[in-house]
Amino acid sequence: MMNEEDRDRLLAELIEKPQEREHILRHAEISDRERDEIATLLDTADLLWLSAHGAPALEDDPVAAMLGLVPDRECQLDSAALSRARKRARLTVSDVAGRLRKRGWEFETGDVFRWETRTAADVPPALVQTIADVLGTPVDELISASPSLSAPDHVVAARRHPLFEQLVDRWARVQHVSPAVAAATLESRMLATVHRGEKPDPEQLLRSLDALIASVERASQE
Amino acid sequence: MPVASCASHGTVVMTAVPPDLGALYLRYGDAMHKVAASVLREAGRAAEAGDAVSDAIVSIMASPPKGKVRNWEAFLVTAAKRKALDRVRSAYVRHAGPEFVESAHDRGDGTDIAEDVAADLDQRQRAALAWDCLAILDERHRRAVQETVALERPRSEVAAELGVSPARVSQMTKPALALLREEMNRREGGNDE
Repeated sequence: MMNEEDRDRLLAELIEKPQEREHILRHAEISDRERDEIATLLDTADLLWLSAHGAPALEDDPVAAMLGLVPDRECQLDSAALSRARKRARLTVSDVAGRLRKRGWEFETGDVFRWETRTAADVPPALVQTIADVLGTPVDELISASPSLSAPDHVVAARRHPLFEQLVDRWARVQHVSPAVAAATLESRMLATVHRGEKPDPEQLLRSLDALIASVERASQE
Repeated sequence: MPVASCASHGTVVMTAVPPDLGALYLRYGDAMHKVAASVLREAGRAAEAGDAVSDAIVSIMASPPKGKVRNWEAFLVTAAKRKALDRVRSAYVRHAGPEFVESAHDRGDGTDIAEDVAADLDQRQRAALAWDCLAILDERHRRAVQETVALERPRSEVAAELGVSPARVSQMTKPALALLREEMNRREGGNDE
């Protein structure tokens, strides 16, 4: 039979090797009561593990980047331009918030009011695109580009590469978004890859974007 | 005209134009990652959860659902789960050959995945509760269990940071998990006043 130390070791091993649990437990010399106790502790351990395996922070999440959810200084909603476009569309801030909610975004009237009167720096490119759609205004008339914060050299190099513009055009076409939103999205995607600790060179970054765009294009054509 | 509406419990119920995928991801992306990680963990590939979610999103971007989607959470979570199962399946194919896959992963093609969504939601709610309950542990036990169990850091590293032996970290884990379980039971029993 196992002593306390053996049981601690067994539990630690079961936690460390979840895919081998069945095998480990089959060969463990423990009573039914101990087996039940371990099962309960493992269930708790699994719940804790699960709680720590959700989506990464937005800026580190390539999926969020691909969806245009990472705010970008080069595609920043301009407060005054938003206010002008909204009035031109004869909508109230409440109307705009309501229409955004209908598109799935969780914003209230106060959020739209804040974008117009204080700051809209946290509005990501995908939302800028939706606001433009809602107001019937081109994205270019709603944004102002602030100088980018320093990006890693290889991302800057990839951004300046002639191929990048072609990729932006393709992404804009396949996603039905403006070139500004497409460029911001693709740049965020490159940055998220870098944030994940990978160190690809500019050509690799561009090839990776090309593969992503091609996969969406291919599936769209099927 | 977009005519989706948001139900009070957070489920987006569609009537015509689908909501933006980005908005949906903000709401349900966390659930997608958790479900994908859970599936892949069984094959020792939890680190690929982000790739499985990315596969799912790319697939939806390219081929948006044609009919009405009544429950976007279930739709997205199921998509992530299927992509995770695809990865598990291809890993088994590489290691054991295709004949092994059929018996080991029937559910990859089964309709029961959608039925699992409710169970997944329950698991995620309980996981959030487990995380909240960490607050009842003292600092050292919390760190031991959080670092080794939740974040899967090697015991030796955590032990060095806590100034104890790896065996001591294992000793600390057990009572910490037991206390967590007790607290969870108490709260789930509705006694959390």
